[in-house]
Amino acid sequence: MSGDENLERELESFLREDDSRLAALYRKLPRPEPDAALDAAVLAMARRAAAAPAPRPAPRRRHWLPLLGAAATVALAVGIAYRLAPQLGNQRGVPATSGASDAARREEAQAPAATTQAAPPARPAPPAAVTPPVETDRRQLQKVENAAAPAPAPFPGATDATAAAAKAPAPAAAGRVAANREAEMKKSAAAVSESAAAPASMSAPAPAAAAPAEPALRVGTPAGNAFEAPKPAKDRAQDHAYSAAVLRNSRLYPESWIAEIQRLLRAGRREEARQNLELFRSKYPDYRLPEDLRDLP
Amino acid sequence: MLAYAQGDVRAFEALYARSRGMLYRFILRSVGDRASADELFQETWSRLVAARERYRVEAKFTTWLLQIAHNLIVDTFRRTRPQADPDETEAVFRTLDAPESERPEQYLSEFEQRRRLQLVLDELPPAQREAFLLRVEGGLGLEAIARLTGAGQETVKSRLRYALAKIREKFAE
Repeated sequence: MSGDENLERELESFLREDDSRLAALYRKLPRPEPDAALDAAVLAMARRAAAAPAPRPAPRRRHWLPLLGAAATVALAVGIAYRLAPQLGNQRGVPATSGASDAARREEAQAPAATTQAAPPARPAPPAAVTPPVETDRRQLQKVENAAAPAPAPFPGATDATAAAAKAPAPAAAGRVAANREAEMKKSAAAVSESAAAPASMSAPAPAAAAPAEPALRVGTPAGNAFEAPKPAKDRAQDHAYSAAVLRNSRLYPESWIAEIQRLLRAGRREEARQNLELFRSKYPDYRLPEDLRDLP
Repeated sequence: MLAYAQGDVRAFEALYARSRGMLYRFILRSVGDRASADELFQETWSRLVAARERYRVEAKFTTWLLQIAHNLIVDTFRRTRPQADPDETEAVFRTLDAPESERPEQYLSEFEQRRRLQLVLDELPPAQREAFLLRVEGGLGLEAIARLTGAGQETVKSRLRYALAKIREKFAE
C-alpha cells in the first residue's frame, strides 16, 4: 500500500470520524481554556447586554433616499431654469430690441420734423428694454462717430431732451422749435452726416426745447450718458475758455440758448451774455440772430 | 441563543460553558499567543452578544461562533503579517497548560507526541491549520468548513490533505 493511499485513508477517516487516530492525538494536547477573569468579563458583558434594551436592528436600507435625491435634483434644476428663463429671454431679445429701436431711430432721423411735431407725450421706456440696448447703442454710436471724422457738436439737447421731456412737454412750442431746428440744421449743419444725426435723434420725440435749462444739464441716466456724443477737440478747447454757466447754456437748443442770452442781457449780465453769444456764434455761425443780439460784440 | 436574545442570561451561560474551551483553543492555536487569544476570545463573544437579535435557528450555534472568530482571526492576520518564528512557537507551547493527571512513565513519550503535533500545527500555513482546527476542535464537516472559510470543498479537502501529510512527516522524523 503506497503512502498516498495511506494518506487518503487517513484523510477519509479524519473527515468521517470524530475520534480518528489524529483527532485522538490532538485531544492529548494540552487543553487551554480561558481563565476565570476572562470568563467573568464575558459573562458580565452578556448580562449587561441582556439588561439593556435590545439593540435596534440594523436600519433597513432606505430605498427612497436615492429617489428623493433624484427628485430634489430635478426640482432644483427646474427651479433654476424657471428663474433663468426670463433673463435668458431678455438676453436673447436684446439684439432684436436694439435692432428695432435702431430702425425706429433711422426712421425718426429721416423725418425728425414729423416726429417732433407729433409731440408724443413723454413716455418712459421700460427699464428692461432701455438699459441693455444702451451698451449696444453706445458701441454703435462710437462706430458711427469714428467713421465721421470731424463730427460736429452733438445735437444740442440730445441728452437733455430725454430728461426734459419727462418733465414738461409743450406740444405747440415743441412743434415750432422742432421746425426751426430742422431748418437750422438744413442751413447750418450741412456737414452733419446722417450717421451723426442718428444718435442725436434718438431722443428727438421729446420736445426738448420746451424744457427748462436746469434739468437739461443733468445727465441723470446711463442712457443719457450713452447718447451723449463726445465733443470734437476744437469744441473742447473752446469749452475751456468759457465759464461753466456758458457751457451749460451751450447744451440748450439754439432757440432756448438765444432766449437765455436775451434774458441775461435784460438782467444786465452783459458780459455773460456776450460770452454766451460768442460761443453761440462759433457753434452756429449761420444762425439768424435776433436784432437785439446782432449788435452785441 | 434564541432564549438569550429574549433576555435569558442563563441560556447564555449554558452556551458559554459548552463552547468556551473549544473556542478558546481554536483561537489560541490559530493566533499563537495568549494575549491575542484572550482579546479575540472576548471580542468574539462581544460580537455574538451584539448580534444576538440576528441569530437564526438554521445556523448551528458552533458554526456561527466559529465564523465570528474566523473573521476576527483573519483580520488579525491581515494586520500582523509576520508569522511566529519557531522560538515564539516554543514559547507558546510553554504557556500551554499540561494536564496533571498524566502518569509519570508516559509523560515523556506523550509529551514528545504533543510537542511534535504542536510544532507542526504552528508550522502549518494558516489556511491549512485553520481547516484542521475547525475539524478537530470545532467538529465541523467538510461542507461547513468550506462555507465558513469561503473556500470550495475541494480546496478545503486539499488543505486538510497537506496538513495531514505534514503531520505524518513530522511524526516520522
